[in-house]
Amino acid sequence: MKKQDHTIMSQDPVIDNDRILEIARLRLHEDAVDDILNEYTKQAAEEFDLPIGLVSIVLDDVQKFAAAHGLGGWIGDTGSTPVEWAFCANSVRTNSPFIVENAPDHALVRDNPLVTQDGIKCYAGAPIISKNGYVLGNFCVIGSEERSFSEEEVNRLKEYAKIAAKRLETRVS
Amino acid sequence: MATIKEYNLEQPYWQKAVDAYKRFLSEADALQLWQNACEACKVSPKTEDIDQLDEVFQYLSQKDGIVGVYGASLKLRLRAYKNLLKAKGIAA
Repeated sequence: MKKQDHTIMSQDPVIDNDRILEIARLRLHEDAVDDILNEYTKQAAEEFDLPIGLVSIVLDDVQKFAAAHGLGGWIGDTGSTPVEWAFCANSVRTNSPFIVENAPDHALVRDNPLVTQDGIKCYAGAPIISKNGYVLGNFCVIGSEERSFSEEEVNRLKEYAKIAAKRLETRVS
Repeated sequence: MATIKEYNLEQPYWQKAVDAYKRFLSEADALQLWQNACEACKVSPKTEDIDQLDEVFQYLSQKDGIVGVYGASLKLRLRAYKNLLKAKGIAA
């Protein structure tokens, strides 16, 4: 099949073909869940005293949970959500942590069904960056109560994100 | 197209798949890819049946490279739609 010229690609990094190819290279769209990363999400959730910890990989049209702790209901059954509801997609666009202290007051997420229907109130996520420099998704913690996050806590999430990136690269090496 | 109102979530269908693949293929090639996948799954290319779509998306998700990633996205989006229907007690 003939490939189109990629130079006029979308401005949105979420659907950038080179980033999607990086996800394909790392086989992050496949079903396998990593037990070691699961342990890290549990550890982070406990450390932050929040119910949910996730390694979320942002594909073109959904976010997929490569590891998770504390998910229940339809989201736990699905292991993903549509990308337009993915808080983590903000980090793909900015290459930086995304913090939400009180979701109903936050302009970017207050109308998100995960907030209005499923009750997310606070979120902190740090980008998981591949060795080739692509943001794959976020290492994040989530809660159902308003909460602030200190600079030290955000730095801790960045450390978890680096561990996750290394682990995801190791899977294919 | 069927939509879960509280979530403003539409059921994915064949045109969404073709539109996704058009991001890196010509329209003709994206359509051909979809038709080939449907033929492999013995499904009409214009099916709106949720289980048949699931089968074709699953087939595409097992392909290598960017085709597989887009297929996985379609499969997981449909799974989210189905699980939300179930959670809300709405028949598919």
